[in-house]
Amino acid sequence: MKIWRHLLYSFIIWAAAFFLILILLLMPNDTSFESGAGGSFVGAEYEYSLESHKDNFVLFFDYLATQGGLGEDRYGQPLLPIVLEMFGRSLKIIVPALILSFFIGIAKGIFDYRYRRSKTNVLGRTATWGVLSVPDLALIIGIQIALLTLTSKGWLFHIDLFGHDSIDNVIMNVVFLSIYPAAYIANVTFQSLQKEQGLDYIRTAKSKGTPAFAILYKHMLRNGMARIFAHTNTMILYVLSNLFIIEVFTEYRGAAYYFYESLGSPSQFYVDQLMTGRVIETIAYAFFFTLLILAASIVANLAKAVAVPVKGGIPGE
Amino acid sequence: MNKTLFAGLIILAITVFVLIFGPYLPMVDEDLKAELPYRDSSGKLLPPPYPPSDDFPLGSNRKGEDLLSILVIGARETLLIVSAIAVLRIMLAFVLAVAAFYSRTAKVFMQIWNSIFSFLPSIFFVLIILAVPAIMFATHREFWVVVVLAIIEVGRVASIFNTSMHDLRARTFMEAAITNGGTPFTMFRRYYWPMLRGDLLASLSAEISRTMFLIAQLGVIGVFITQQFMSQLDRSYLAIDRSNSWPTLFATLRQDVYSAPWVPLAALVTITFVMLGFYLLAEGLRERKDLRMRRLQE
Repeated sequence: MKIWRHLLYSFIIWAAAFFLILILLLMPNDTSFESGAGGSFVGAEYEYSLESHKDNFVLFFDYLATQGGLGEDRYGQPLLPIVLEMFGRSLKIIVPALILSFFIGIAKGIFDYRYRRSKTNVLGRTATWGVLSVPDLALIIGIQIALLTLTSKGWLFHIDLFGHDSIDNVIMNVVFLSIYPAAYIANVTFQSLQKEQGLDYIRTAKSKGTPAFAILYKHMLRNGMARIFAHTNTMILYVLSNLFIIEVFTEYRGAAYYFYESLGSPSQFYVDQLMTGRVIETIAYAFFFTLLILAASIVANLAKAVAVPVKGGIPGE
Repeated sequence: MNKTLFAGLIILAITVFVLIFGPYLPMVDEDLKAELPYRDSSGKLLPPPYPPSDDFPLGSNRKGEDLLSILVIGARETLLIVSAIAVLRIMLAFVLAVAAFYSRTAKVFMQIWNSIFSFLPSIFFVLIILAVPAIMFATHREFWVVVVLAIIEVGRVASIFNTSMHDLRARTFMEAAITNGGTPFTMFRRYYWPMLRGDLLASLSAEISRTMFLIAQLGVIGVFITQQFMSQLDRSYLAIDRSNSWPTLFATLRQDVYSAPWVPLAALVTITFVMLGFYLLAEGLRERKDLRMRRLQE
């Protein structure tokens, strides 16, 4: 029963989050500009009125109702299929990145745990730690500059780093997206294994002669999964916020790229004219992004219910 | 003192040294003179950006200004903004966490706050909010940007504090303190506050590190904290950050990766170094706290 309550809670929070995003995106843009000689910019005054904010909401839902959907984009194409296509393009790198970082992260965590006593093993904790403490932006740009240098010296075949239509782009972006989250999950796995380590049931299992690998995989890891699943939401947020930077930076034209493109510009305007965003598009992308996070949290909750054996809490907590 | 904390303190010491004395060091050009044009040893004219050389230890940017000097001079602004965001966030989170510990309403508020803002990455929210004209044209835009960046993650930090207060309450010695007649106020002063004080410092370092990363990300997509609107050729106005804060070095990242990789590399190495310092500091402080808690239990 607990799981249903959890799902309901997730759903309500999702609705609230999406409503907050609507409030922000449908904020009225009534700005009066003060111009000087030759139409140069002197200043701008913004007046907020609850009335026009409400009007924006009414207009938005009216639009949805009369169009029977999202309507058309600025080129007269139906918007929904385009949004879905772009989203599919992004999912092509998000889903592999999520799966890879989850499983590689857990494997790396187990590796780190098994070789935790070796001081000389730089591939263990030190490597995980190194990736975690360096901003992944540095890793990504570092990798790019390294690849460009190698290619220009002729030591490496050409890899397409910018764009979205070649398989190189997909592979590189999956790699870029999974580096940091994998290290994050590895760290969580290591810590949760370490917490299980001293517990009584492990001692009992050892004294009964259970082989070490059986203790690790059958008992410690299964019990530790609860803690690992608690961190999946953070992992997804890392992947998405990186997705944004990566799509904009490498011109991988997916959902995050167009979400950014459709937003009103916070840094450019004309006198008497704001660079307002294409609100319908932005809202559509935001809707699917929040839906993705909702879906991921539901999957994580279901997986947790199946994979975690302990009922009524984790021993020792 | 553990090794992690020690390493973090060393990096902090170097950073503070640069903050205070940096601009007066001999190899730093305080006025940031643009060296244009520049001749190499054979007398050939070279356009900027210049690669690293004797005159420019880290190279120069597209205006011909020395990168090392920009990094040293920009350190003050960058760290000022980042720490302002982190301090404000920690203060608000602390108040919210303590309120949530004693009041159920505040607790629900904190949880909802945290869950709502975990439905999109912070950077999405930041971009949506910064494009609201009220903030775009605000007289003290920097101030509002700092407030926005601080507030978005208050819920997350507050729940970390709240969890550690609940962890403390579950300890056996807390029961003893309550049976001995501790009022909520003395309990807070004698038990919760000393523990939270350590947490505050560790979280402050961690948040400085996180915020530094967020403003670097914003820099990559051309959104800056301090900006001025400059008239463009097509009569539009574009926000340009004329300060020397580190994220501005990412403004032309896409070209630089090909033609002047030393510009983003210098900024990245500096940002990574400082972030690493604060990350080590945070981890070191947490390790120290864990050790103390274990000793208390024994």
